[in-house]
Amino acid sequence: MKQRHEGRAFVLATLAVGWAWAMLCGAPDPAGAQTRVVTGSVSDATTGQPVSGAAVAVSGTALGAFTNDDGNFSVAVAPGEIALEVTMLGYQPAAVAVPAGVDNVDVALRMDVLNLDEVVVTGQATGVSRRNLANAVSSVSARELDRVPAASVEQALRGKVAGANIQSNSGAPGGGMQLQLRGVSTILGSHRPLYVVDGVIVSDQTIPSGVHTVTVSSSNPIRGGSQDNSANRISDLNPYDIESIEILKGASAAAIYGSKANNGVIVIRTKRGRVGAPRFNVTQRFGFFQLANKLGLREFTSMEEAVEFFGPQAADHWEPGKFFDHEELLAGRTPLSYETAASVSGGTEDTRYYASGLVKHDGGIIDNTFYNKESLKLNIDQTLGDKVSFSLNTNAVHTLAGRGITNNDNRSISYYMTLPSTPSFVDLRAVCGNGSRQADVDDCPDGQGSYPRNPFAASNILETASLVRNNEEVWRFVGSGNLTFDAISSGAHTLRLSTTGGIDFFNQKNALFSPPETQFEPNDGLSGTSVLGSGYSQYLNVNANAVYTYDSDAFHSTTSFGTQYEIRDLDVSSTIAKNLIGGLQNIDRGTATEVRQNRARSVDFGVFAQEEVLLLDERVLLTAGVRADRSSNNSNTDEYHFYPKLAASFRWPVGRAGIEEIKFRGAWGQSGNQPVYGQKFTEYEGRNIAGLPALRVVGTTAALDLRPERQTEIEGGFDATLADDRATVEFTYFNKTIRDVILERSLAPSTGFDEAIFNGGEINTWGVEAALTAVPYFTRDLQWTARATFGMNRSKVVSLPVPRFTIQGFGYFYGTTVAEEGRSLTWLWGNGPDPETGEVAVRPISDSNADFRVGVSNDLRYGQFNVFGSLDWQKGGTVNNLTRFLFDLTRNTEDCNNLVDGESVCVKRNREFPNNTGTYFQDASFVKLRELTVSYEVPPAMTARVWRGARSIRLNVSGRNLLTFTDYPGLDPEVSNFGSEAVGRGQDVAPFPPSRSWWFSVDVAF
Amino acid sequence: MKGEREMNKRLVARRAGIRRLRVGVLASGLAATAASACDLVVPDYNNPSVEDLQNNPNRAAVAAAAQGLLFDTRITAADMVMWVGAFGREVYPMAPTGSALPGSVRDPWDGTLWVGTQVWGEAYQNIRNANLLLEALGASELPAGETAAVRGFAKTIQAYEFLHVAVTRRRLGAPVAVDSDPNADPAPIVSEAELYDHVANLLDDARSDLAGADAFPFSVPGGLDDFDAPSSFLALNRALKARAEVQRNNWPAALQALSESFLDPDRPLDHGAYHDWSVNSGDMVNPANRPDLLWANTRFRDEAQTRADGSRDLRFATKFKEVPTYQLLEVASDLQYTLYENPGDPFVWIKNEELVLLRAEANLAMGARDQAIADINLVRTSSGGLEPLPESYVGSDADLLDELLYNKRFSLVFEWGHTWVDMNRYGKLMEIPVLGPPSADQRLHDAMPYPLSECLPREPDVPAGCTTQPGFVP
Repeated sequence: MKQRHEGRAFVLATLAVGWAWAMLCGAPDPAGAQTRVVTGSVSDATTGQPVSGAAVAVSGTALGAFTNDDGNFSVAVAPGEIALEVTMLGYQPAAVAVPAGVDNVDVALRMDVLNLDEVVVTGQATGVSRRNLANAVSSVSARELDRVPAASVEQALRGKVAGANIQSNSGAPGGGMQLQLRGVSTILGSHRPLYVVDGVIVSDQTIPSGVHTVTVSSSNPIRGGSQDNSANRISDLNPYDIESIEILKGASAAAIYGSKANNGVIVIRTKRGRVGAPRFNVTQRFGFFQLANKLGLREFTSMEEAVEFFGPQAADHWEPGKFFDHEELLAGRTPLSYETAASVSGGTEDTRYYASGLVKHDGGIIDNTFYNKESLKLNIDQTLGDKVSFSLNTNAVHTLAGRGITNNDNRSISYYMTLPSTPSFVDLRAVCGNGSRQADVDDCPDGQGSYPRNPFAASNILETASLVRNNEEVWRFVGSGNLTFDAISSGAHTLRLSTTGGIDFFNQKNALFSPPETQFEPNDGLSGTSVLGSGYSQYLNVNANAVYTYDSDAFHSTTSFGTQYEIRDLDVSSTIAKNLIGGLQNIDRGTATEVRQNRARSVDFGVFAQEEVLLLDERVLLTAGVRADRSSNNSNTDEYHFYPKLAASFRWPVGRAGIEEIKFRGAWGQSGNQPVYGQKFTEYEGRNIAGLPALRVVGTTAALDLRPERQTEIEGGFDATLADDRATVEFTYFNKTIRDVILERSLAPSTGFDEAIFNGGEINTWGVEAALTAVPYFTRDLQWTARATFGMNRSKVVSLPVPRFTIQGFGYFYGTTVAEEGRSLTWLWGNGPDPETGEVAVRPISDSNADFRVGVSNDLRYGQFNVFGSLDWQKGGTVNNLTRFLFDLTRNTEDCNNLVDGESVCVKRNREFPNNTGTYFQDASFVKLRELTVSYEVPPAMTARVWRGARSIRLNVSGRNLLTFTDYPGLDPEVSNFGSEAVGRGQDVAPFPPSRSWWFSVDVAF
Repeated sequence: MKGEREMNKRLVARRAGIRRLRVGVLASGLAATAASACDLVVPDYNNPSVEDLQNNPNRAAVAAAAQGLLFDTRITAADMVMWVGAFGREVYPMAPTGSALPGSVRDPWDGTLWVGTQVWGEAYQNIRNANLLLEALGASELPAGETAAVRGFAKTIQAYEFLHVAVTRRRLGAPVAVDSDPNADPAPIVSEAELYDHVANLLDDARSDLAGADAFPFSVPGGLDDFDAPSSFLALNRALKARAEVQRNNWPAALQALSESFLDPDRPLDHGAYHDWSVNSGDMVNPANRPDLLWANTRFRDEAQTRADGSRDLRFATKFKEVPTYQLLEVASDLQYTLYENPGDPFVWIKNEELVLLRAEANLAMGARDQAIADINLVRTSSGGLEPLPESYVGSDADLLDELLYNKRFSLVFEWGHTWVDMNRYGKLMEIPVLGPPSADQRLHDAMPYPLSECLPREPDVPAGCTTQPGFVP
């Protein structure tokens, strides 16, 4: 017993320091003697199919077993009456009483189509059943994620989460998306949600590719990459490995993540092994991507017209009827794409494993654009005795993307920046050795040929696509371990200590090569550009938690506390070599070389405590918690910032008028958003002039008390269960206020500084979210599940201690988002006439934020057939179509031949533009058919005949982004020249054109 | 046996002790781990802080800060070359993106447009650089002779930056008392006359400092080889003074300054001070090296005077080249500059040729026609390969002024926006030859507005430089 005592002392010591290594010495409990064995089977109540891997636990004890492949189990129990609890992910749990003397039970589980019984995360180590949840947390499960191939997780989430605005920044292969939860949360601070995978914070960093060094979209060496159209790194995850995603949208749910949670938290759990014989799943897909939309080019009907707009040299090229569809020649490719995904899982009750592999190739619609991904994952769960368990998660990923040359540009190199000054009558195709013409020189006999000069612009887009490489390669490792010690598990009390540690490391290599022979390269006097960029990102975090639960007849309480320590390192460097000797890509071949490096490191420490109580027959849930955080990014690194939260829910069993139950819920919480590394410093920039060191002020002055932005959110709503658990309706209203907003006070440039960074002001965002899930049919032959989500939000600046300032864009002249006290944050501003006086002045013109977003999906299974489709609808919103402005400027827009009062419409637009920036602000409403899949499951009886050893075979035809309905005249209303933005997106400047993808696939399970 | 029991007891106690020790060690280890989390200080990895210079103005830091003034002043000069050059139609930046001429010369000509941001922020940033350096010198342990040298140097650069602001904002004025807390209200706008007084005073202060100085405790790039000591730099200071005095028609002061400058008719006319650029990492390349963007005004070809052999003014032949025609909207050009064909080519800061012409200008204004003609002829013959004006030149003073302006234009083209600066000063803005059909889109302006960011903090009492400048339609 002495040993036992010491074990306890040990536990106390561990708790005292908030750590949890204790389990190494934990004393095992003497196991009780069992003589009776209960056997039975578990099956699906609807289909009658056996359910394997279901957990069968004996209530009030630590005893239990898992069902095998045939759905059978056997468990040793004590004599007398016992109760079994059977649980299985995706099914409603069942409790079965087994009287003394009965040793065989069969349990039928009902599918939990509405996810009412899933456990939703409420803290670092705690969760609560969705039935009781006091927050509007959205969950998306594996079966909703992996129907149609997706380049990134966000892509697979589109249209499925109420209150999430998920949009592509362009059509480039390999991702580059923005996921914004509940509208605007910041103006200048970090605007990315926090991603937590298996308890580890992972990076969603965007590291610029360096395209701006060629296109000169910006000459700023530090922030110049914002228009590089790079992918955000969450795209590295393999969507097939995901078991579930839970989305904590605001401070009321995410307060426990403290000063990193203002933009919401996305908690991802990956798949784990299930007890039983190894199960193999293999999916093989083939498909292709296809250009989904074109702008069209102007056709010139006479020589005079051609010469008028393109100068005397147009006479050398124009011929009647001569028309080249440059867009089709550029982006009309449909190369084969494929994907092989395989996984195996299985194990014993002590050791379970899940391993997966993925090999993927997405062919791009433009030459030299593509996306490859290879991923390996291994998750292991091991129990040591009945008190200690650990799990290990590892994931290695390699991705390689060819991203093309797109977005804003000041040298006429990016494709859609060059097209405006390229008339449709000039032939840009390569001249082959035999005199024939090919869009891709590689299609010439022996690959011999060369591209003609584009006499009307600085570059030939076909040549640029064929010769310039913009490759982004990532190697990534995400690993985590979790150790859990059930210190107490006796009757009413349980105490669980756990510690989780993990690392997310990646290296992104950017290799941009623009060879000297391209038309545009000699223009800067330095022929040939090679950029070699390297980004090292390393996230390390460790957390330790203690969770104590107490059960009585009156209530169930969960008390938890813990700590978290985190280090984030980023080291980005690049070498830009110009004037390449011999035209080689190696950066040491350049006669002019520029080297850049930028580092960032953040260290955070936080502690939290939380109490959850379930009362009144589990009808009432009360939650209170607080988190305290310090960070190296704050001016005062010793000061703790506190983030409290409160939440309550009450389930009212209505039981009439078709309403089973209504749950009312309300929550209040606070969270923060740290300053970005470097914001707290006033710096000199170290440069050189002709080799001599030179110091100069760089425009930004420091704040002496910089601290996190603070969000206070209140959320309330109800969830109703209708029609015998066949439908749920969720409704949520939220209202969040962000104070201590990190702002840049724009200083008069005569001070020598551009801006001062400080905390101040207040933003308010409110919104409404609703979700409807229904199962109109659920029979053995026909199952139909329908889901709809709705979300809308409005943001405004409540107070702003600085004059109005522009946030993102190209200034008022071209249209920009603006912060001004009392105004919405999402409106696009520009020059516009006063509606009454006609006086032209800078004013807000149009809201870039959508009126609302709706997602609808239907899943219909009839016999062996399954049809799934999802629609994503955005109503309203504005895109600033600067691409069209550029086409109008050179009179090369498709509709320039249309006249209004004798004036060409594009001339008219261009003429009106200086007095009305809104000329190019266009409605961004759209309806997109995001996913459509039709699958056929080979009947079990035939399966074995078709493929020996196979358990199931499924054939699939699917597509992504197949249809878009929009009035927007640009390429795609989902666009952002600056990538992800805290406020307002929708600057359309020469983006990568959109594509749709088609797939055929076979899934085989063994 | 007792002994053995004792031993066992002790053993048990020791074992317990070891256990307690183990617990203790582990606990303290964990506590240490937790404690190590207490220090979350992370330094600035990427740049030195401004406080570093103020707190520790050692020789290397002072040198780097002084050299930094040269890094920045050429950026203001680049604004002059390209954008003021464009306002005076020396150069047409023809970006298909419309981000430059001719599209952007259009309305509204106010701070909301990029024109307002040119020759302002960079100038004042460098003025701040100089003020921070001057402040740091107070705590420096450098010998007095060296601090005086740095002071004279810094004030000269500062004066030069103020001159940039003065010639572009003209009647609108600009702030001068800018050495204040950046978070306080912006400095008041002073008149053009006060602005020039400030420039002249700074240059004269600098002269006193340089006169009493030993040597520069910093290095200068190749473009300042002839001005690398306080004594020789003084001659550059005076040359800039002459340029400033001519701007405000203070002719005697201009002649006085020229006499102390490096003006020397016997030296090559291109002798002078230059702004260096290079392709070195961390340096900047010549921003006017943009054959894809910058075209020359073809009217230079029409204007160039004829030499004895019937060919054009040599300055046209050496500074321009013919290229295939490029057209953007109503503007077409087949001329580009041969200047800055390499990314490391320097800008002229101020050269002997300009000083000769400044002397001619001052003399002409003061009625000394013969001296003026002599200087004009020096430039006509040696730079242009043209016949000298006859000794019996009978043209009016106005004709002579036009002849002088012709020579300033051809000798100094694409170097500092001289065409706009000079033509503006003499009210001859409308004589600037403009490409393309005359229209409101081609209007010429006599003063640049302030950037919007300068205006917003001054609301509601916005100065005249914040309102739309109407300009003149050719």
